[in-house]
Amino acid sequence: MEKMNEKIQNIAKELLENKEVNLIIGFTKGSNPLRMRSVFITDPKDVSKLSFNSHCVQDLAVFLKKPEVKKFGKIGIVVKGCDEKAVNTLIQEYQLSRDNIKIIGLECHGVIKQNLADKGENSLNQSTVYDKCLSCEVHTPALYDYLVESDEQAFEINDNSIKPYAKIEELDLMTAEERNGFWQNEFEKCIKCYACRQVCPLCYCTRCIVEKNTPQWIETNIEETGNAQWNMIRAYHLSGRCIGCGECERACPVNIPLMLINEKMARDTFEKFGYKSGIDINAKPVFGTFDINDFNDFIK
Amino acid sequence: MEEKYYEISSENIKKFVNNLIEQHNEVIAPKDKDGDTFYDKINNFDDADLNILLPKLSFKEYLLPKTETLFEYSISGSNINICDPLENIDVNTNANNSGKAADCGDNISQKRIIFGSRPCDAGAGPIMEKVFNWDYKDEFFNERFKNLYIISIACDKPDNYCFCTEVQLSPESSFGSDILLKKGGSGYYAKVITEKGMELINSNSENSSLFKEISKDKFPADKDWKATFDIKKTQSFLDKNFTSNYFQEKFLSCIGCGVCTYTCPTCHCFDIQDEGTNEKGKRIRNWDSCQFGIFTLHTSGHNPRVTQGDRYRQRLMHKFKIYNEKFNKYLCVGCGRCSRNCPEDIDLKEITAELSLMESSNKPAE
Repeated sequence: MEKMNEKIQNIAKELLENKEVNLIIGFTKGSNPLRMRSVFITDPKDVSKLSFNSHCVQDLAVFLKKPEVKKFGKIGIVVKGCDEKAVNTLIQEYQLSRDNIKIIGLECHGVIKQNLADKGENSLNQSTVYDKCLSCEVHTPALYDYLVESDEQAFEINDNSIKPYAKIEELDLMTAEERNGFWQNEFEKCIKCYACRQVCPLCYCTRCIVEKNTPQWIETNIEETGNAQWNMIRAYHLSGRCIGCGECERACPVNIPLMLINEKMARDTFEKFGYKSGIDINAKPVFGTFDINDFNDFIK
Repeated sequence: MEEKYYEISSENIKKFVNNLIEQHNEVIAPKDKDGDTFYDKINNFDDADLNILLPKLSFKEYLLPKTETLFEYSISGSNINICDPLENIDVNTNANNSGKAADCGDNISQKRIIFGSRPCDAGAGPIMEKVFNWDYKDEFFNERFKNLYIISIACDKPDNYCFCTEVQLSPESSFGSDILLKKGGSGYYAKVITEKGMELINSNSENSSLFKEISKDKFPADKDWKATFDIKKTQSFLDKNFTSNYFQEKFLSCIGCGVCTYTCPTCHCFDIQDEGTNEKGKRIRNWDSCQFGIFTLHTSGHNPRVTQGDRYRQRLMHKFKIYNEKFNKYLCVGCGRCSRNCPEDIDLKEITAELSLMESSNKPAE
């Protein structure tokens, strides 16, 4: 990854020196050799901190919604393909101006699941990467100002029995009661830390619906009812918008498989509206537009 | 109570725990759930996973549940019924003279035994007890704490995120445990610290026969654990550098979720809410977190902690300065969960060590 790191550093240096951006958001070494974290660079002298490898799990686009980061104005950001889809959607939803962002896109073959890396896993292969990497369509980001190609080979898919988000098909075959039972069981674990919301680049409301109390839309309790309401409203607010970075599921301290919901909603959106989020900067967001040809057979 | 020392074989510890379960105690232990470990009720000793360092969450919820019902009401016609979860408990003696549980809340007086916690987790109870008995005696916390029995197992291999020794505990500390077990001999050596610990051992004649009393010098001595930095210097830095730009720069990477505070054994902030209808409802208290922007948002719209830097600084201040000034204890047991679980890899040990170093090198704050 040395060549790749050097290229990222050179681009960042140039952007900062030419005052094209005031801040670079990238990856740097984390708290142990198999963890990476974000770094915020304003001084060209610090670009040597920037690096990239298959442990760069975070979606840095999340920082673009932070008021403390927005005040830097023009920002350069290091993105993997999935992170770039978030940047794309933020621009599309008028949360970010294309003129204020320099996208340093990285070719990425996948990232290793953090819970495995924490147990020492350091090899990139079909069984160590996130499900999103198995179905990834953006190993090279679609939108970028600079592209840094990977030094490494993509891993081979040699086991066809490993299917991304295979549990969705299983859930689809269940009765509504069984499916509800599955999710109630999962949501029971929820501690309402809102890591899923905070880590999501597209959850950018300045005041979340759970924080609105006149009236109180969502019950505040961290029990069966409140947890189910929170998790469902989160899923609905991201339907047709979620770009599938999987950060909510990664951040969840109690391992709720949130991506099964997000991915199911994304598949439904594609099936019913032919729309995929984060792909086309000029496309109209599916739930922000009305089309006379939209299917409406659910209206009886 | 004068501490007592025992030896117990692996086979007998298993019998002991299974006896405790048979005696209708709720026994909670680290338990595997889909590849991760959480504290959970066990129905058999073999359900417990004692090989891991620490469960992902602490057992805080058994002292301060995620949601605690403070009271329930129901109205029918001109009848108003209020149910108080503590109604059968004498607030002065904490005794439940009727022996009956209230009809609301979960059974707050349920005897619960934590088996196989680590010394860091065990230390959290008595640290939190201070704030729950400071100006106001929190009956809910006290009732749960009184009924919580803690059997912990000393650590032999703390990981890189652990810093219990730095916050004045140690991997072998018995602070907060009723019984501390150390591996060795034919299974474990046991140190019984409290009357509650003795109560468990003497809970029936079989249990007491499983433990063989030994003299204090037969109990393995603690290793010489050394702190890697001086936490007092961290406190001193915090004392002097409230306005330092360090916090603003360092916590640009903080996304403001509640993972650190909710997985923390000692963070105890809560929010009181009413939920229900005209006919029926309850007053509850829910976990809350100083990392949420709304935590300090005034009705006027003003927020004294504007940035995430302000909020994480508050977390540091509360843990390493304010709490120690007031209660002579750090509000941290060094378990490292906030660091391991942080989605953005913010490492509390690294930060407290860095502040300590900055203080000792007398580096002026920016």
